[in-house]
Amino acid sequence: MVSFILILIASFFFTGIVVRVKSLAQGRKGPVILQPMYDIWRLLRKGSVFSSTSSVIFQIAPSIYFASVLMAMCVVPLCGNQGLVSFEADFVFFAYVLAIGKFFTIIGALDTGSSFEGMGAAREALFSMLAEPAFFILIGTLGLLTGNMSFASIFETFHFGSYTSYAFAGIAAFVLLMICMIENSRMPVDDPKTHLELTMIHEVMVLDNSGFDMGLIMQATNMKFAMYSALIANLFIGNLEWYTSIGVFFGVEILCAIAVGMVESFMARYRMSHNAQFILVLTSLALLMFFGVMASQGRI
Amino acid sequence: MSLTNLFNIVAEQEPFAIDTLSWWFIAIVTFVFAAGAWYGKGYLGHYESKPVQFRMHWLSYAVTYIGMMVLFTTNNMLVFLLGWELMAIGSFFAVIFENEKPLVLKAGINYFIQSHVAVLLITAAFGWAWSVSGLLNFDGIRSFLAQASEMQTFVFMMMLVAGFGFKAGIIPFHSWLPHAHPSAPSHVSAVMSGVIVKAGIYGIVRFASMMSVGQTTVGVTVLILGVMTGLYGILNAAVHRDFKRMLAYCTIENIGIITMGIGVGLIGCGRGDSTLAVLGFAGALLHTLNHAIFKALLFFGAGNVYVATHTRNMEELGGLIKVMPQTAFVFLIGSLAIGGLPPFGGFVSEFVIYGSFLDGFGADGLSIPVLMALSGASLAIIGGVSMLTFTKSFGVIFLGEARTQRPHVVHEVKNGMLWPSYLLMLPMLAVMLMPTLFFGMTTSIAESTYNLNMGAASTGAIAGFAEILGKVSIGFVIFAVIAGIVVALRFNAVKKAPTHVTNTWGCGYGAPIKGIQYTSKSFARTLIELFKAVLPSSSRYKAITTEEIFPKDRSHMSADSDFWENSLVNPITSGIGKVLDKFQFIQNGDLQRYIVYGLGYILLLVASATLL
Repeated sequence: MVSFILILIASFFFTGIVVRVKSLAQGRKGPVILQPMYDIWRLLRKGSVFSSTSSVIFQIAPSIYFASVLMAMCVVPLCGNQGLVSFEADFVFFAYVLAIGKFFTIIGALDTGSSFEGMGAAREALFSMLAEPAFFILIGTLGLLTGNMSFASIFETFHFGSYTSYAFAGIAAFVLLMICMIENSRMPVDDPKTHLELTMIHEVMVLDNSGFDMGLIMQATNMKFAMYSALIANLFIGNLEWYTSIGVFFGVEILCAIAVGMVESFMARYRMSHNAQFILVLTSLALLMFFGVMASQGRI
Repeated sequence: MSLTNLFNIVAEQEPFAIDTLSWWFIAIVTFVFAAGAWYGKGYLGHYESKPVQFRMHWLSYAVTYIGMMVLFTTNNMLVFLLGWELMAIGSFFAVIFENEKPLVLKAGINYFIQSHVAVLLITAAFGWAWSVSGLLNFDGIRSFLAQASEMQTFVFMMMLVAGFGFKAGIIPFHSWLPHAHPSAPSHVSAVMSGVIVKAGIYGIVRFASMMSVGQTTVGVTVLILGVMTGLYGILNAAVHRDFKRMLAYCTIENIGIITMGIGVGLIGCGRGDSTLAVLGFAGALLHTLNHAIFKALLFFGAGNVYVATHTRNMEELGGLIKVMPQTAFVFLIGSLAIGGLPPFGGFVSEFVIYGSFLDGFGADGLSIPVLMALSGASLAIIGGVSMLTFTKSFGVIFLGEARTQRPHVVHEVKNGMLWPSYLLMLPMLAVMLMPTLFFGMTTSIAESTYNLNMGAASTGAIAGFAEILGKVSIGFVIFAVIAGIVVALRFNAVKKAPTHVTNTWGCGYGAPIKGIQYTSKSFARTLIELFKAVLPSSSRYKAITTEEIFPKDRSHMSADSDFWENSLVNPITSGIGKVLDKFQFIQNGDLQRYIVYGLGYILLLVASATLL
């Protein structure tokens, strides 16, 4: 429960920091950190516009997406507290719960009958499929390294002190950050701020959502950011005391937000056809780590 | 040996024995056959065939069922082959219900021939075992395998895996499935896809348990075959536009997942790692149950769509959720379950298989952990492509606007065709809420069938995994509660705020034609390009040149074909055909020649009688 609340708090300022970093990089002052939350709060109270083509799927899709992210947050441990739901191989559950949210976002987009949204849906389905194996191999490898297979026990036993675990944490943090960017459809694979529907992935899928639903979708994105950053933070917390670990958690959250902002400011989006290669590179990185762990355990 | 003699031998050896593995398959098959019969009653009501055709159809349906029951209960090679043959012939006649259509007949004959190639392989393997041991019951196979070398065991098992692979749809023996499933009436597709292919799985699980050496090699081979089958099946499923063919490929994918479980189980047996063995087999058996249920559910949904719209091409459909909400619900539940998405049944079995892979990570040596990691990654890819396939299928068939105007009014099917689907959801709900119970059943089946030596460590590990599944089901409940609360809050909030209904956003253009919507083909386009090597497709299109100032009307045609069928099955069959063509001069339709043949035969008889 502690992790759930901490991630929720982090989600309130994560996107705000990203936006602020981007505007500073462009030489602007930028809005206040909590501006995205004000926007969401406004959206939640606004009325909605529905397409006459859409059906009940369109109405429930954002809610199920939001619920799936909430459920995934329940699985993530933090600061020595296990998640609300914690068991061996819970990362499989984590990934599949997020998948059901994605499933509904995709069919929600198809429900509008818009060709733009169909296009976004097809891309989302493809790219998230490609990112799947990287995540499984990565967490499986961490499990192999620590001899445990649940999030909580993996992170508890992931000690620092040996050079190899520093190296593994570094690679793992990079892969997780990239998976986070893909899952949230951010810069190297997707540009949410582009001016043209044809070049978007996630944003184009929610073109027809408005009001409360849009608010849910935006907050779900914030929470997803905070949640993946929490996984990264876990790599560096180990079994620290609770007061230090909370500090480390917020530190990592802020660093991740700054990293996202920097990537978005200084990188261009890849061509859509190059995305597949880029995402598969993550899988090979995870595999590299797998072999590294095998080697460090003297099994090669 | 005369026929009565043979009967006596078979009868003396008590040809029937039922154990827990038999019960598991009997229960699944009976349930799906019953649901299929109920559904078929409503489904066939839409055909104006002669009564004799209906009688013939239901007779063959029953014969198929009887054949399967014989198969699962027998303890004798001859009776097993008899049951296999009954099943093959019965299902052949059940498939060709619409035999006035040439394509249906062709698909049926394709299926018939391929099932007999399978019989040939199995008979050869049985004959080998019989010739060595001299026994016709399964003990003959056991005693044969007890003395066989590792190489002999491997060859023997590969003959059986190939033979049963034909029935189950393991690549490259799968090529009949995508033809037969779309041609059969939907209730037959449901039982074929849901349970008849499982006869192959039963065969592999049953006979692999008799091995005494070399399980690891066989296990690794089966696991690799499973991974390839799974990936190949789901990639093809993502491409096809005929929704029943899509479901057939999806069956191939799920057979791949089940085979992966069996492979892991055998590796566990070979290494003496009971935990790994039990997890692998339990995952495979559990997925057999789950897949039987949700595949039948999906075929019932597909059958409803076919009955209502008279097309199997999803590019012509769209927006059906508005006219067929119940069918849409059935199909949606099936799609979510087959993708292994929590909280539906499919997740439980896939989770057990993931668990077995993770357990295999800790195995000694390099090869097994690497194999497990790659298989786990493949299962993750399969899950991802499966999501693409089913979002596409559900979205294109049921959501958006109708892509073509059907010549008649489309409306929801009768209740008699919906209730069987709801019936199927009951066991799925049971798996969701009580995964521990089902896991317990499958683990005890695996332990007793494979005579596993369960030490304290393995018993503890399996009990621990059962506990995990209990927590998974709690996770399901929590997720359902959270989703319920969010949906309720959302509808409450939307009701309070003003809403209005307008067009879908089209960049300011308000009157787009229906055909502009994303189609199944365009949805899968990037995937097809990524996997061009194994997804052959041909297209016919004349590109617009720069000289053409006013381009004329154009058409674009594309067709997807099967990689293995093109590169393996067709060359072999056409090769055989070419050789046989050389003998065509014998059958030339010339009456005089035939009289000469007859005369020659009689002369030969007379000559042989006088000479010998």
